Amino acid sequence: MESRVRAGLLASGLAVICGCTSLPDRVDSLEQARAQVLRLEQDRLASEVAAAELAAAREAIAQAEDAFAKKARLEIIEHKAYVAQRYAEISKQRIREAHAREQLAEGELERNRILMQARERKSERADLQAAQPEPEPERTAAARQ
Amino acid sequence: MSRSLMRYVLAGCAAIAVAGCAGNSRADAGTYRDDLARAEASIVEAQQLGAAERGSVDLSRAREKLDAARRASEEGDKNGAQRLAIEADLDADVAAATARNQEMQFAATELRESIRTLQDELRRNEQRRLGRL
Repeated sequence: MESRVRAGLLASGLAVICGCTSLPDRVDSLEQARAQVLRLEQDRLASEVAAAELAAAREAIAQAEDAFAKKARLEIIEHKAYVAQRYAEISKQRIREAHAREQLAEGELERNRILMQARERKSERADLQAAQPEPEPERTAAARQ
Repeated sequence: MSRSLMRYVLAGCAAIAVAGCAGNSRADAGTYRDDLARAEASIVEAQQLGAAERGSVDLSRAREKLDAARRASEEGDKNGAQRLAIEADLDADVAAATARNQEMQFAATELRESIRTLQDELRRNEQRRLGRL
């Protein structure tokens, strides 16, 4: 009887140990977050418009890595990785918005340049017309007579 | 060590443990409630930015997670409630950032189209003028 209890306890202990260490070799969401942050950091506007969000993403990745190293529950690691991914997504949106804002500013300059050119052409044509003497209908009629 | 002294030591340890736990639970409760409040505010902000009208998946996800966080909180799962509230808050922030970005993209596209229209109009005017000469 006693030996059965011992065996049961041993089996339970092993099950608990296996349960605690049954983490996958890699957590996909964490890998994705890492890759996403690395990609976003390459953008020239990243540090200007998304520095805080990228820092928060890096911090969450570090926490997820720490949790992974300490063999924390997968649920906790995935939560931290999700936090990192969301901060990375906010960074991506902010960077895209900044690029669109730049395009908007460039577009406004372009429109003003086109309008200015059109006005200059119109004014040049008006000057040309003013410089050419108009035919005087009365004098030409008199000359014919 | 006498038995009575041992009892005092154990009673002291128990009192410290109870005080420690009580302190922790208050701190945790404050934190997860703050996260729930933050998520609610972020969802309102995303809605005000028009995320709902744009059919934002992130906003729907944020609402679902906020509901789940409230349920977890009612069931006494403070850690679960906190994790869900944090995720709901971030999902709503993504929805808001996406809405802002979409608005800017829309403005940039509209401007590009207006420039194209302007260029076409000027070209037509120029051709008409040359045709009259």
